[in-house]
Amino acid sequence: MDGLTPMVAAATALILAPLAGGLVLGLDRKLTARLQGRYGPPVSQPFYDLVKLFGKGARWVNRWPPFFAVLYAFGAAASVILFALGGDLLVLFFVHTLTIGFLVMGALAAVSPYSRIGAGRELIQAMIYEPLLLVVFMSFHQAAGSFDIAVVRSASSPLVGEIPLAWAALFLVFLIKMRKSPFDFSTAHHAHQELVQGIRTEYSGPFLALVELGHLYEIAFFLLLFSLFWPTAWGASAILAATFAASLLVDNVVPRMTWRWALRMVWIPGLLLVFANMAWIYYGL
Amino acid sequence: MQPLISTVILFPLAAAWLSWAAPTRSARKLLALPAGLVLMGLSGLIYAAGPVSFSPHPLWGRLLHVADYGLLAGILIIAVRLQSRLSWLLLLVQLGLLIGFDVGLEPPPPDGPKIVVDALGLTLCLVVNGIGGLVLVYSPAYIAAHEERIGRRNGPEKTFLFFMILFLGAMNGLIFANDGRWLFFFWELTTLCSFALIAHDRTKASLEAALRALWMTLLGGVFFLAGLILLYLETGGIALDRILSAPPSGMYLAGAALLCAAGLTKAAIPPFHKWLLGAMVAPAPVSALLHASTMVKAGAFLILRLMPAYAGTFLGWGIAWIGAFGFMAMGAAAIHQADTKRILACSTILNLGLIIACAGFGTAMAAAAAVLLLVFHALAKALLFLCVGAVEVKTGKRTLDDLKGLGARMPLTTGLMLIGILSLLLPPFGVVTGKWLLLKAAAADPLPLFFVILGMAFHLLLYVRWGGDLLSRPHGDRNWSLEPQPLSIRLSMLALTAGLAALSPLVPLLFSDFVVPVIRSVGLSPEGIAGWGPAGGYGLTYLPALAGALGAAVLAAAWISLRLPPEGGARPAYVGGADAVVEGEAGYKGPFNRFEPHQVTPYYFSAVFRSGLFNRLITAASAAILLMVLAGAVWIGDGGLPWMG
Repeated sequence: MDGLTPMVAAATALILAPLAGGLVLGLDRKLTARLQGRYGPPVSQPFYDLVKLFGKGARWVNRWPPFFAVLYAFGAAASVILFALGGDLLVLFFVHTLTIGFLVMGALAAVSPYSRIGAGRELIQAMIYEPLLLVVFMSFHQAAGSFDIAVVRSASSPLVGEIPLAWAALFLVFLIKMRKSPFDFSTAHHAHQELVQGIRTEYSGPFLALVELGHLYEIAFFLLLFSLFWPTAWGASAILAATFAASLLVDNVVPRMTWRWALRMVWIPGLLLVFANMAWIYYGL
Repeated sequence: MQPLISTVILFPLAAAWLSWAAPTRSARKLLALPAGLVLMGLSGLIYAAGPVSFSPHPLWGRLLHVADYGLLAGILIIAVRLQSRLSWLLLLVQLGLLIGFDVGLEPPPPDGPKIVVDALGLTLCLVVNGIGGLVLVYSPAYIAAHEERIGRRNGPEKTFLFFMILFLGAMNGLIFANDGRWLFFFWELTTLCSFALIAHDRTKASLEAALRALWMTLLGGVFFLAGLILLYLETGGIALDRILSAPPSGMYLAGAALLCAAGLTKAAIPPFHKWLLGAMVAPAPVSALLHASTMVKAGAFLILRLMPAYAGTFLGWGIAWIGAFGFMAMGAAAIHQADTKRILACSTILNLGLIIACAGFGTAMAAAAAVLLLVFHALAKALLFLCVGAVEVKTGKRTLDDLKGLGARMPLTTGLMLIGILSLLLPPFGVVTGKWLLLKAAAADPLPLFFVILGMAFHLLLYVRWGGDLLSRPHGDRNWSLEPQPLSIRLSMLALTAGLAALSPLVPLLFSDFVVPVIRSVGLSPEGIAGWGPAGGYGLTYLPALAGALGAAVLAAAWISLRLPPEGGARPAYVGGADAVVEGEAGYKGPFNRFEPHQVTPYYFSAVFRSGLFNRLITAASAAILLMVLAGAVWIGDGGLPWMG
C-alpha cells in the first residue's frame, strides 16, 4: 500500500493540475473581459481550445519545435508531479529551468524571425525571474529550516507572516509566468502582438496544444508554490485569491513594457526586497 | 604503489623527450596515442590502489632543487628575449625569494613524506590523466589539420606534443607533491608548458596572449613563494600535511591567504581573468586540456587542499566571496561574447569560481559539491572545447553566428556539443547536481549567495542561446549524413560524452565510495551526507529516476516528431504570407519583391556588457575584494567574525 501512495499522488497531480490551471486561466479571461465591459469567453474556454488544437493537423517548419513541445509539456508535468511527491525545492527549480530551456530551444531552432526574437525575449525573461524564484526558495529555507517541501508545509506559523516580501517576489514571478502585462513581451494570449505570437509562432496544431498544456501545468505549479505560504485550506485559498486578484488588477492597469524596463524593475526592487527580508531574519532583528 | 606514482610523473617526461626526438609526424602520432592510453591506465591503477604516502630517495629532492633554479633561469631567458619586462621582473622576485629561502632561512628537509596521495589527489589524477589521455588521442589529427589550415608545413609541431606530454607529468607531480618546494617546481613547470602551448601559433596575437599568461601566472608564483615562506616561519616546516595540521597563529592565515592567491591566479579568477580569455588563441586541445580541465583546476585544487587551514575563519568566508563574485562577474562578461571559445573560457572561470566558493563555505556538503563540479565540469568543458575545435578544423569558423545551422552540416559534432551544453544546465547531469549541493550549502550565507544566484541566471542565458542556435535549420527535412572526421577525433569526443552521460545518473550510487573519501581527505566529516546514497532519503535518489524519465521523454518526443508526415506538413516560417524560399534559404519578399533572407542575431547586450567601463568595474571590484580578504586574513586572523558561528 505504501508504494501506491506516491503513485496515487502523482496520478492525481497529473490529472488535476491542468484542470486547476485551466480554470484559473479561464476565470482570468472571464473577469478581465468583465472589467473591460465585455462578456468574455466561458470559463472553460481553455479546455475547448486544447481540444480544438489537438484535433488540428500538424504543420511544422522543421522537426525541432514538435520535439521540444513534447519535452516542454513533460518538464512542466514533471515539476508538478515532483511537487506532489514531496522532496526538494531546489530540485524543482532545476527541473523548471529544464522546462523553459526546452521551450526556448525549440523556438530558436525554427528559422523564423518572430520565433527567434520571441525566444530571445523569453530567455531574458527567464534570466529576470530565475534569481527571484531561487531567492524565494532560499527564503523558504530560511524561514522553515529546510528545502524539503514536507518540512516547509509543516511550519508552525504561516510563512506569509515571516517572509511577506518573498510573497511579493513570487507574485512578480507569477506575473511573468502568466504572461501578464507588463511582462508579456515574449508572447501573449492576446492577438495584438508585434511579434505575431512571439515564441509560440512556429508551434502549431497538436504541438501548440502541448505548449498550452505545459503552460497550464506551470500555472498549477505556481499555485502550489503560493499555497506553501499558508498551508492550511483556508489560508491557501486566501493567498491564492489575493494573488489572483492582484494579478488581474495589474494586468488591466499596466501596459506592456520592454524587457529593459522589466530587467530594471524586477531585479532592483525585487531582489533588494527579498534580500532585505532574508537579512532581517538572518541577523535576527 | 610507489613505482606507479613515480611512473606517472616520470613517464611523461620521458615520453615528451621521445616525441621531440621523433623524426616524422607519423612517428609522433604513434607515440602520442599509446602515451595517452598508458597514462589513463596508470591513473586507473593508482586510483584503485588507494591513498599512500612516501618519500623517494633524497637524491631526487636535490635534483629537484637544482631543476627548480634551472627552470626559473630558463623562463627568465625566454622573458628577456621576448622583452616582457613584467615577466622577468617577477622572475627576479621569485629567484630572490627562492634564494633567500634556501640560503637565508636554510629550512631543513621535511621529515614527513614528500609524496602524499589522498582521495582528493586521486580524484584529480583520474580526471587529469583520463581527459589528458583522450586529448592526446585527439591531438595529432587536429594539429595536422590546424597546421594545414594556417598554412604552415614545417611548423613547430614537435614542441606541441613535447609540452603537452610534459605538462601531464608536471600536473601529476603537482597533485601528489607534499613538500612545498616540490609543489612549487611542478607549479612553475605547468606555467612554462602553458606559455609554450599558448604561443604555439607564433603569431603576434598568440605571443601577446602567451606573455600575458606568463606574467600573471608568474605573479601567482610570487604569491606562492611568499606564502610558503610565511608558513615556514610560523610552523617551521614546508610539508603541506604538517602545515595543515599546525594551529593557526600569527601570520599563518596570511601565508595561507597568499597560497590561495596563487591558486586564484592559476584558476584565472577575477581580477586575474584576462590571461585565460587571451589564451583562447591556442589550438583547441590546449584549451581543452590546460585551460579547461587540468591546469586551471590545479588552482582550485590547491585552494581545496588548504581547506583545513582556513575553515571557519574570515579567510574561508572571504574565499567564498571571491569565488561567488567571480562566478557572477564572468557570467555577465560572457554574455556579449560571440566567439565560442571565449564563451567557454568565461564559463570555465565561472565554474572554477563556484568550486572555490565551495571551498570557502567549508562544510561537508560544500566539499561534496566541489568534487562533483570539479569532475563533471572538467569532462563537459573538455568535450565542448574538442567539439569547437573539430568545427573550427572543418569550417574554419567559431563564432556563434557561424555556428547557426551547424546541425545540418555536422550532425554528430553538433549532437555531442549539445550534450555538453545541456550537461552544464540541466538535471540529471553531474554539474547541476554539484550546483544543487552548492545551493544547499550556501543557503545559510546570504551575501555570497546573491552573486551565485545572479550568476546562474547569466549562465542559463549563455548556454540556452548557444544550444538553440546550433539547432536552427531551415524548413523541411534534410538528409542527415554523418560528417567525415578523423577517427581519433571522433573517438575521443565520443568517449568523453559517454563518460559524462554514464557517470551523471550514477552519482548517488558512487557517492559513498568516491565522493565521501574526498570529503574526509579535506578534514571534514561527512555526517548527514552519507545518508544520501541509494539507501538515503529523497536527496540524491531522484537522479536515476529523473534521468530515466527524461530519457523516456526524449525518446517519445523523437518518435513523435519523426513520425510527422513530410508531405503537406513542412512549411516555411510565418512571415505574414510573404514567405519565399530561394535555393534552400528561407526568407521573405521584401521591398521591390526582392528576396530577403531571414537574419536574426542573438541578443548580445553589448551596450551594457561590452563597455570598457563594465570590464574595468569587474577587475576593480574583484581586486578590491581580494585585497580586503588578504588584509582581513592578516588582521583578523583566526578570530572569525562576530556573526559567524
